[in-house]
Amino acid sequence: MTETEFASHGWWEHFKETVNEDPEMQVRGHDKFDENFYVEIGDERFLVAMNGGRIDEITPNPGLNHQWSFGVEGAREAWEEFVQETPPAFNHEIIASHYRTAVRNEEGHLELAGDNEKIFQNLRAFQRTLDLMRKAHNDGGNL
Amino acid sequence: MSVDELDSVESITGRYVHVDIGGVTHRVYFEENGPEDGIPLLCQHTAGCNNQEWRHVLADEEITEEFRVIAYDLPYHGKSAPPPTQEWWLEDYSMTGEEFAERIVAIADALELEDPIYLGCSMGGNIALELADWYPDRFRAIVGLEAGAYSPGFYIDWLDHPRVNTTEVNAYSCWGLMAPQGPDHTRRETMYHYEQGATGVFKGDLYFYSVDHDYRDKLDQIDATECPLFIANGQYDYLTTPEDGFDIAEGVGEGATAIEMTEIGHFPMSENPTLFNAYLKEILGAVTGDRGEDLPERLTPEDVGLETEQVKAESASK
Repeated sequence: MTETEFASHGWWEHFKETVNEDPEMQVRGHDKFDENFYVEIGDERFLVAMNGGRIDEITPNPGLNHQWSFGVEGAREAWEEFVQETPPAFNHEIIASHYRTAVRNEEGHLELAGDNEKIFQNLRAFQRTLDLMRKAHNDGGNL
Repeated sequence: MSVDELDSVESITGRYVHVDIGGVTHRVYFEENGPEDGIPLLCQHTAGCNNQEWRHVLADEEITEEFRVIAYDLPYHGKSAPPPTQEWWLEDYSMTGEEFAERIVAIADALELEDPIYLGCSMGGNIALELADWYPDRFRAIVGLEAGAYSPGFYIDWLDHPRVNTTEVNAYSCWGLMAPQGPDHTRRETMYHYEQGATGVFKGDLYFYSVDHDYRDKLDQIDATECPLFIANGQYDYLTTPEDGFDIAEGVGEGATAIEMTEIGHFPMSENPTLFNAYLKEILGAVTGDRGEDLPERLTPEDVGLETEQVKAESASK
């Protein structure tokens, strides 16, 4: 996906297709994954609206008319590491990144925000959805 | 075992041993492979898991030529069911360091192991410090994988909660503990093992791992000149990093050795068995003295004659 800039409109469209066609999301992503979440990249926020384990819509700059259960926040540099085909240690998966931020107080990693109960209720599907950002970014590359 | 030998019977055997732990008899399952008079290599699994994690070490013909590899299921894990004389269902499972160390030594005693090498990972790596402190005369050497003097923050209520799918959450909260360079199917198998733990046992083990175990101010109590201590942590282990391993070795001093295992994470023996077994042979060579020189601070796939793609390809044929 070298022609399309990370987190551009075209990139998100490709990500949506990747998630909605992913066989693992259909098996273990659960047709019950309905919790909307946001991805915050630096100052930009994108709402990912989930419906039965599929992405309905991705909305930049969500506002009061939208709702979500949880989100992931981090600097653009951290996200750019996260989506590398072979990401560096501690920005290679969301729980890894969150642990280094929340427990070890390190900078430069992603952090979870929002309703922890809903995060853990949907952990695998949510985690897989985020991992598919890497696949989308690398045109089917390593997860 | 190659693909064309799929109908053959593996030489790994599984048996039960009855172990007295604090006056209670436990029926403990263990698997072993290697010569009866080989150097015993006693393998402790990670929190909430079982001895299946060690199957690739048990199957390694080079290792089992010299070592009698023994991998057990700690009580309440795998096939080591809770003792029938106890009303264990009336209390939450939770384990302290004293209980953990006592159980390991009791299993070594019940198997009548003479000068075994202890090899444990994660919570089995952390307890290496208690074993080295409290039972140095019981072991020939102690090897802690993915070990830390202190590993807070993983005693998490959601790992045993009625409103979450604990089977899946216990496994996939660990997904990111593995390195992306590992083969897909061994990383997935590692999670599959994790999905088999009894309810509450993972969290109860993590009481030891993240709450009870704190050796930050006690490392100088360990005399590793009496029993050599090796610490090997994976590059991608976000809970106990290679730096944490080096801190242990520095705190313990003489007799303690720490190394970083690159391109591997918190479950080395199951997430990337081809690479880990190669690393382990270097460590075991240092334990026995067969390795002529000191271990390097950092082991890479190149150091052991492997490349990432080669590891993935070889693994896919197993």
